[in-house]
Amino acid sequence: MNILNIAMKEMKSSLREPRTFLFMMAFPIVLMLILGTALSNAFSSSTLVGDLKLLYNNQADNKQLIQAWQIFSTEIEQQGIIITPLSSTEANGVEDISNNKYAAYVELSNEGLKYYGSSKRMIESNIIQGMLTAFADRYNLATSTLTVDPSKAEAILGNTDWKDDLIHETSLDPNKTPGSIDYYAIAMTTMIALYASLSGIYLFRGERTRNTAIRLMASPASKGELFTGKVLACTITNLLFVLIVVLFSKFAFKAYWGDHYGMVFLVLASEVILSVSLGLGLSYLFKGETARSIVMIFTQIASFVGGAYSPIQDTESFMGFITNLSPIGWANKALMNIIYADDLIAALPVIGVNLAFATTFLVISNVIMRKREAI
Amino acid sequence: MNVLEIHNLTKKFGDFIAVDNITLNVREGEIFGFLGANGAGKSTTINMICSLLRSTKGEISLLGRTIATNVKFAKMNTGIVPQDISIYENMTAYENVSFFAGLYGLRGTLLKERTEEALEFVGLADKHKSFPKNFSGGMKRRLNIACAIAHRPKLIIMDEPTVGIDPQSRNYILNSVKKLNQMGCTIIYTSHYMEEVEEICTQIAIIDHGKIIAEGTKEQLKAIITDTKDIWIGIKAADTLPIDQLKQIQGVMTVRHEENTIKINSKGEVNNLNLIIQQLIKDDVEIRSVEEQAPNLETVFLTLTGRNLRD
Amino acid sequence: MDIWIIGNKAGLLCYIIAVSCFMAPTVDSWYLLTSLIYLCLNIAVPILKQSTPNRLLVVASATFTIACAYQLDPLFLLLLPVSLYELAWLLGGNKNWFALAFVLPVPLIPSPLVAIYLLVAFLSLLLHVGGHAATEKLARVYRVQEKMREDIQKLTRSLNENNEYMRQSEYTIKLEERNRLSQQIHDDIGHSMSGALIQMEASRRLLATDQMKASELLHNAISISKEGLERIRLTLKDQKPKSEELGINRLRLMVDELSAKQAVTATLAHEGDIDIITPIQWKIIQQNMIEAITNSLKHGNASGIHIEVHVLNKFIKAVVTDNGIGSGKVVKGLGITGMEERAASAGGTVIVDGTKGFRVTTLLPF
Repeated sequence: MNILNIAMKEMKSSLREPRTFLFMMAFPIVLMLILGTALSNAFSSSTLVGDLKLLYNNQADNKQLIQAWQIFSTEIEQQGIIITPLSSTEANGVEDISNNKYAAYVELSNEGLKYYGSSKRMIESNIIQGMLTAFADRYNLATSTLTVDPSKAEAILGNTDWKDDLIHETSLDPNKTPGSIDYYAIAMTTMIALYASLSGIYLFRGERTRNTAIRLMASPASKGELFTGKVLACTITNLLFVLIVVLFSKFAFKAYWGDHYGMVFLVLASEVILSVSLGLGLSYLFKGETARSIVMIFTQIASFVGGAYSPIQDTESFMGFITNLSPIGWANKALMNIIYADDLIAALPVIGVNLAFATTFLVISNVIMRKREAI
Repeated sequence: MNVLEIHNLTKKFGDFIAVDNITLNVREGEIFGFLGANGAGKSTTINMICSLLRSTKGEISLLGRTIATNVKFAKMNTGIVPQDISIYENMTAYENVSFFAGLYGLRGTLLKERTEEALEFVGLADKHKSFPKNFSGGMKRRLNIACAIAHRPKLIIMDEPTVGIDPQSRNYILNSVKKLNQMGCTIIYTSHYMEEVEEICTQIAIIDHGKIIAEGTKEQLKAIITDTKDIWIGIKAADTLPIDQLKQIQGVMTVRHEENTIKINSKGEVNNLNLIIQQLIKDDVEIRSVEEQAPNLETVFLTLTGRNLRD
Repeated sequence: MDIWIIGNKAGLLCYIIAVSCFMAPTVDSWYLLTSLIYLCLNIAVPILKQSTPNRLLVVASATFTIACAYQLDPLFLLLLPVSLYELAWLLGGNKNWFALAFVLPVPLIPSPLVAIYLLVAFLSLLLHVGGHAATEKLARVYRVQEKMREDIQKLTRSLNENNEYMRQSEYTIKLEERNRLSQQIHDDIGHSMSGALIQMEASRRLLATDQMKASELLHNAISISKEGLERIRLTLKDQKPKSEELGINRLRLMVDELSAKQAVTATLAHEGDIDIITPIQWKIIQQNMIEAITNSLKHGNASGIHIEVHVLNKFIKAVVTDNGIGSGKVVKGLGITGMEERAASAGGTVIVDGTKGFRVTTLLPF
C-alpha cells in the first residue's frame, strides 16, 4: 500500500515540473520536426531507383522454362524493367555488370537460374533479385506440378496474376520505407527514452538534497517499498512522456508507426526501465555530480552512435558494430524491424537485453542502498 | 514512566566519536531540551533515536521496547521535525502532510481527518491548497511540524524548529510545542536559542563533544554554577542607606554600596526583592532601577564548556 | 599473494597448452616458444620488487598475450585478465580498475570463447580480489599488532621508570625529612636541652651551700625543658602539611617548572573556595593536567598554556588551555581515555576541545 502511496506522490510531483515537460516532450518534438524536414532528401528513395536494366542469356532448351520466361519477361517489362538479351558481341555478361552497364545479369539454363547482381546498383539489383526469386519459386512449383498433372500446370502457368505476386515484394511498397520524419520519430523517441536516466539519477538524490530523505527514512515505510514505489513511478511517468511523443508524432507529423503497437510499446517500455535503472545505479555508484556528467556524456554518445541524429545503415562496418553498443541503436533497429518488416521476433532479444541490464543496475543500487545507513 | 531510555549510547564515524557513551532517560510528559553547540552530537543522537543511524554501541528503548529490534514500532511512535525544512515544494500543504501521514499507515477518512487536524494545529488550514514555494520561512517551518505530528506520535523530536524565522512565527511555534505537550506528547527539543529552551523545557541536558555534561531542570543547572544572585539597585542619592537593616532581610548575605548603586548578594532560592524594596521605600531612598543578575543557561553553558553556544 | 597469482597463471597456461595440444595432432613449436616466453615474463614479475619495472613487465606480458592471441591462438586471451588484474593492483587496487580489467577484453574475444573467457576472468577476479583483500587485511592486522607491541613496550618502560622514580623520590624525601628533623632538633631542642642541663648541673653543685640559688636554677631548667617540649610538639606538628596547600602549591610548582624548562609561558589561576577539594580530587586534577600539558606540548605547538581551577557551586572545573593550533577533530587516544577514566572514578567528565587550540576541561561534582 505504501508503494502505491509513494508512487502516486512521485508521479504527481514530477508531472508538476514544467522543466521536465519542456525537456522530455518539447525537445524531442522540435528536434523531430527540424531534423525530419531538414534532412528529408537523404531519405527519398524514389529518385534513386531509375532504370532497372536486366541482361539475360537464355541457354535453356526446356520448353516449359522458355515459355515461363517469356511470360515473366513480358510481365516485368510492363513494370518498367528493360530486358536485354545477351548479344553475341557481348561475350561476357558478368563483365558488363562490373562495368555498371546493367543492374543485373541472369543466365538461364536447364539446371536453373544463375544470378549476378551489381554491387554498384544495390537497390536495383535487389529489386530484380526479388522478382527472379519469385519467378524461380513459381517455376519450381510449375515443374513439380507438371510431373503430376499436366492440365493443372497449364492453368498455373497461364495464370495472369503474375503481376500481383511479383509486386507484393515488400521492399517495393514505397509507403513502407521510412521517410525522414518516420525515421526521426523513432530515433527521437528512443533517444528521449534514454534521457529518462536523468530522472533516475535524481530519484533518490533529489530526496537527499530536499532533506526529505530524513522524513522518508524515519517513517515506517521500508527501504524496499520506497525503492519499488519510486522506480515504478519514474518508469511510468517517463513512459508516459515517451508515449505522448509517439502519439504526437503519429497524429501531428503523420509518422508511420506500423501496425504492431503492442510490441513497439514493449520495446519502449523496456528501454525506459533500462534508462531509469541506469541513472539510479550510477547515482549510487558515483558521488555528487559525477553521475550526472557520466549520464549526460553517455546519452550524448549513445544518441550519436545509435543514429539519433543521422541514420547509420551500414551494419557490417565498425560503425555498425559500435551502433550495436548503444541502447538507442539496438532499440532503433528493433523498432525498424517491427514497423517495416513485421519482424516481431527481433524485438525479443532487445527487450531481454534491456531488462537484463536494468536488473543488474537495480540490484546494484538496491545492494548499495541497503548497505548505507541513510538513503 | 520513561518514554525514552538511552543507555551507554556511542556512535563513531571512523576515528571520530560523535556521541560518547550517553545515558539519559526522558520521562512521559516532559519537554526535554538538548543544549549544545553545532557538532556537539545532538543531531547524531536524534538520528539514532529515529533509526536513521545505527549505534556503534549502546541501546535505545522507546516505551520500554528496544528500538533495534522493534524498528517499526519505534518509527510509528516517533515524529521528527528535521532541522532543515523537508517538504516537497511542488506539492500543496495538504498533499505534503497527507503523503507523510500516509506512510504511517493512515488511510481514507482517518487520513483526511488527521491531515486537516495537523494543518489546523499549525494554523495553515486556510492555506492547505497553496504550494510551499509561496510560503514564508515561518509558514514552511510550521508545515514542517505538521508533517511530523499528523500520525499522532507519542514522542516528537524537534531539531531546531525555529531557525531563521520571525518572532511572531517563533512564538506561534513555541506555543504549539507547549500545546502538544499538554495534549500528552513527550517532546525532545533542540535549539541554539537559550531563551526558548529556558522558556519551554522541563528538563535539559547540556551536550558537548558527544557527552552529557550536565542534566536537570533549569534551576538545577543554574545551581551548578552558583546558588546566589546579585541584585543591583540604582538610587538617586546615597545619604540615608539602611545597610544594616538590609542585611537583616532573609537571604541577604552581603550589601555593598558603590556610588549610586547598591549591590546586594542574596541566596538564589529566596524571593526577597519585595522586602528589600519595601525597606528602601521606608527609608525614603529614591529607586532609579532594579536589576537582578541571576545566572542564565547561557552562562551555565559558557562556564561548563568554555565556549559560546553559537560558536 | 605472488604464489597465488603464479598458480593462477600456471593453471591457465596448462589449460591452454592442454586444449591446443589435444586439439591439434602435431605439436606446434611456436606454442612451446610462446609458453616459455610467457613463463619467463611472468616469473620475472614477482622477482622484481620495484614498481616501475614491475608494471612494465606486466604490460609487456599483457601485450604479449594479445599478440599471441592474434598470431597464434585466440585461446591465449584467457591469460589476459590475470595480467590486467595484476596491473590494476599495481595501479592502486581500486575496485573500478578491477571491473574495467574484467570488462575491457570482452569485445576482443571471438564469440566461441566468450563463455569460457567469462568463467576464467570471473574466477581469476575472485582469486585476485579475495587474495588482495586478505593480504591487505593481514598487513593491517600486522601493523596494528606492531603498534600495540610498541605501545606495550612504551607503557612497560614508563611503568618501570615510574617505579624507579617513586622509589628514588621516596628515599630522597625520607632523607630530606630526616635532615630537616635533625637540623631542627639540633637547632632548637638541642640548645634548650643543653641550657637546661647546664642549669641543672649548677643547681646540683649549689644544693649544699646555697639552697635558694639552687632552687632558682632548677626552676629555670624546668621552664627551659617545658619550652623545649613545646618546641618538639610544634616541630612534629609542622610536619603535617595542609592538603589544600599541597594541591594548589603543587600546581604552582608545576607551572613554574613548565615556564622554566619549556619554551612556553604558563599561568595559573584559581577561583572559588578551593579548600573543599579533597586530596583524591586534587590527585585526579593534577594527573589530568599533567596529561593535558604533555599533549599540548607534543601536538599543540603552543607558546602559552593556562591552567585554571574553578570551584563552582556544585562542580569543580579544572581547565588546561593552550594557544596552539589545536585540531579540528580530536581523536581519542590512550591519554584522553586515561583522563576520562580518572574523572569517571569520581563521577566526573572530561571535555577535549580542539577548535581554538586545545582546551581540556575536567569537571568533577562534589
